[in-house]
Amino acid sequence: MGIINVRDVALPAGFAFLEIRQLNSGTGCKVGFNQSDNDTCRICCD
Amino acid sequence: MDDIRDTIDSCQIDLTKNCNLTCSFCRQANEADLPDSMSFDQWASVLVQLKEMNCKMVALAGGEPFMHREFSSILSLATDMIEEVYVLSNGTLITQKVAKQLAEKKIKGLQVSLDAFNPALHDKIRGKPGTWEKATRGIRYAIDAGIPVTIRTTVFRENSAEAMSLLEFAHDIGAHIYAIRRVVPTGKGGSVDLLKPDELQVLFTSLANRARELNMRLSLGDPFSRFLLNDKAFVEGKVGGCSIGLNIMYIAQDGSVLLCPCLPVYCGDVKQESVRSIWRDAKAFSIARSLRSNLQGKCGVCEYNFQCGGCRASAYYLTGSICGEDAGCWRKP
Repeated sequence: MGIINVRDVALPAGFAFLEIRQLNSGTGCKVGFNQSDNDTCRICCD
Repeated sequence: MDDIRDTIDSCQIDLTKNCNLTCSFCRQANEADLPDSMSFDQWASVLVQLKEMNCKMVALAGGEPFMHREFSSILSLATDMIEEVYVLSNGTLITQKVAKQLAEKKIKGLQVSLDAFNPALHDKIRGKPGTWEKATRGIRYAIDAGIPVTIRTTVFRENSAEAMSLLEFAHDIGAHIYAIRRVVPTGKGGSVDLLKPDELQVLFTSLANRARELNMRLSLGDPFSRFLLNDKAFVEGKVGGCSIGLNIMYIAQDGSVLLCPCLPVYCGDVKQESVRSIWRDAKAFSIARSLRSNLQGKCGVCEYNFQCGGCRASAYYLTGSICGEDAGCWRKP
């Protein structure tokens, strides 16, 4: 597996640079469940 | 809310490409014995810079991280500076003494790969006889030392029938988490038989149901799986799923910063530039942060786009485009 240079990454026509600048997921449970609560997801994103 | 270019939540560092095993699905094709060209001082500088960027989690991986000559020193430095340090290993080099040292350094967790409950199959996949025995012994030493252990399976057709037994084993042995994700078809992984979306759905659904019965934490590494198995997981307005360029950085053994261990798009070199400047300014990261607005196929029309985004590496290898659909997802939006 060689390293891919960014100029070789094919981007689709019309690719728009609309960066996600803000993120509210934070660390820990990515979907906001309280891990100490037994009635929670149990499926972990980490 | 933070600007994601100011902080790096977490970082995976592959300290070495060297490994004592030859797994059939490994993302490394034939890259063993590459020099570990980063010195201890250079890794120390990286860790300082990560801390300055408020990095809360570092995962030390490889190759097999225990094969790095200065692993112990780098680990000590990492645990001194970073809140949560994880070690990702095949488990075969974890003796009682090593487990005690890891516990003393207060690592947050140890991930050990087990690809089958059947020892012969695990050894076959891992390319070396006796691997299952050594890995499970390492797991037991770590659990006995009080380390939270994740047992991790990389799943494809050959070992898919083993996953439920491995979940039960992880529960019974006292592991903290059972983790599973499908093979990304790159490196040697490009030649294994991948599960089809409906097969993944059946497997992951049954694992999720059993994990709930056992009250066992299950980590599903494929971005779509956790959203499709729990409708409560969808929270309007949140951005999550595939983390490339958003909250995780990956640094290879030679200091190259790549988008993802499985998608080696070059972003920069920590030997030449600061971690901060690479994270803020690399064009590849700008592309990664723009992907969700540019996805194609079913990922492009899926309402989970911003929370999931699919696995961009899998999409790249299966469709030829970094913006392509993640063909492993079973959802039909």
